[in-house]
Amino acid sequence: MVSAFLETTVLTDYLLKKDGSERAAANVLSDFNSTIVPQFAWKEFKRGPLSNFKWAHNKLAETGSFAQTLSALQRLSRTPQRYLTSTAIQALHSAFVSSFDGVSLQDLQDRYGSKATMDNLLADALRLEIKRAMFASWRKRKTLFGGPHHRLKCYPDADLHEVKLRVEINPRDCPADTECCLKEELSTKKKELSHARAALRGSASRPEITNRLRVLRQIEKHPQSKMGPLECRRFGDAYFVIFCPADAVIITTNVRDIEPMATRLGINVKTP
Amino acid sequence: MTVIDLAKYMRAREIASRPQATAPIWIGDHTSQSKDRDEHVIGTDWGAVPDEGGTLSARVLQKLDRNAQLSKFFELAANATSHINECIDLLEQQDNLAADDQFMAGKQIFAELLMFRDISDSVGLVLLRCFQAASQVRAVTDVPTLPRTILRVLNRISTAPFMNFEEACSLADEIEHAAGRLSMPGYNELSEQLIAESETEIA
Repeated sequence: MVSAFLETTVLTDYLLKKDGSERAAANVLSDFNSTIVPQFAWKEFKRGPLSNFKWAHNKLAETGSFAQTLSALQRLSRTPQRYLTSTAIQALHSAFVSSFDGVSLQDLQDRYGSKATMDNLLADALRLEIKRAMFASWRKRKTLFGGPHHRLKCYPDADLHEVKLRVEINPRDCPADTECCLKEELSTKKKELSHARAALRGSASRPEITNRLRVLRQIEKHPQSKMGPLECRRFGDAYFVIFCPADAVIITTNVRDIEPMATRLGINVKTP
Repeated sequence: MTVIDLAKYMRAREIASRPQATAPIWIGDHTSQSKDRDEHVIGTDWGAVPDEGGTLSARVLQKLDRNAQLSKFFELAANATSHINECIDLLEQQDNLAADDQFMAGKQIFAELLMFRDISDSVGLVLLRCFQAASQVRAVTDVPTLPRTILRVLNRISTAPFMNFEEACSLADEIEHAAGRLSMPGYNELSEQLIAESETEIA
C-alpha cells in the first residue's frame, strides 16, 4: 500500500488556494491509498501561510481598504516582483464592482455612507474570505486524512482566537526554551542525516541550505547540543525526507529543495 | 452603545417583563442549549461565556428601537426570505421566468444586507456568500438547489446572528456547494503573494 506523505506546500495549496491548485492537490492525493499529514506540516502551515493570512486579515480590518492593504504589503514584501500593478488592482476593483450590476450603488452610498464604498466593501469581503479560509483550514487539522501523524510532544497546538477585530494565532512555535522532541529520534537516524547532508552540499550557496546543513551537522556530530525552535525551523524540509514513512511518496511543490535529499535516500517525490 | 450592548440591555428588559418571549433568538451560538458553556460566543468575543439569562425576541427588539441596525437587518432578511420563498414556489409551478425574477429581487436585497456586515463576522460572511451566489447565477434553473439552501441559511443567520464563526463557515460552504465555485476578486492574487512571502520566511 502506497501512501502520500504531504509536505507543507501542497497542504497549503489544498487548504488555502482557490485558483485550481487545490484541485490539483486533491487529484494527486486521490492516486494514493492513503494520505499522511505530519503535525510538522501543520506547524509550518501555521507559522508560515496562516500567519501571513492573519496579517492580511488584521491589516484589512485596520485600514478598511483593499488599496491601502496592498500598498502595505508591497512595502513589506520580500518578493517584490510579485506585487500587483495599479492596473491589476483596478481590474480587481472592476471585477468586484461588476458583481453589483443591477444594484444602485449611489443609492446605497447615500443611505449607508462609507460602508457602501467599493474599496471598503472589497476590503471587508476579502477580510471575511481570508478569515473563513483561516478558520476552516485550521479546524481541519484534527480530522483531515485521519488527523495529524507523528505528533510533536513539544508543540503547543492551539486554536485561533480573536481579540476585538484582530485574529491571533499564537503560539506559532514551541516555547523558546524547549528542547525539540525530534532530537532524540534523530539521534537514531544517523544514516539518513548523513545522506541528507551530502545531498545538500551541492546547493549550499543559498542561506537557507547553509542553515539547514549547519543544523544537520550539529545533530549528527554534536547530539548533546541544544535543538531549539530556531533549529527546528531551519531543519524544515529535511524533516519530510528523514521522517517519511516506508513505502510513502513525498507530495510537494518544493521539488528543488526536497528532491535531492529524497533521491539520496531512495524516496520518491511527486508534484501535483 | 454598540449593537451587542443594546441587545444585552433589551434582553434584560425582555426577561424581566416577559420571560416566555415568542420568536426566541439566542444572543450567541445557537448551540447554546449544549451543556458545554465554552461553546457559547457573544459577537466576535470568542470563548467568552454569555450572561445567564433567557432569550431575546426579535419583535420586542424592533419595538424598542425601530432604527437599530439589528432591527433593520431582521426586516431586510425577512424581505429577502419572502422573495426566495416565492422563487421556490414559482419553480415548483415551473414558472421559471417569474421565479428568476424573484431571485433577482433577492439579489438587490442581499446587496443592501451587506451594509449590515458589521453586526458580526458570521452575518457578514453568510451575506457575502448569498450575494456572491445571487450575482453569479445567470438563470435560477441552473442551480435548482440554491434557493432552498439560501432560504435555510438565511433562516439560520436570522435566528442566530452572533453564531460561532466556524458555523458560519459551514453555512457559507453549503451555499458554495449549491451555487458552484464562487470567486472573490483579489483573493487569488492576495493569497498567492502571502503564500510566496511565507515560503521565503520558512526558508
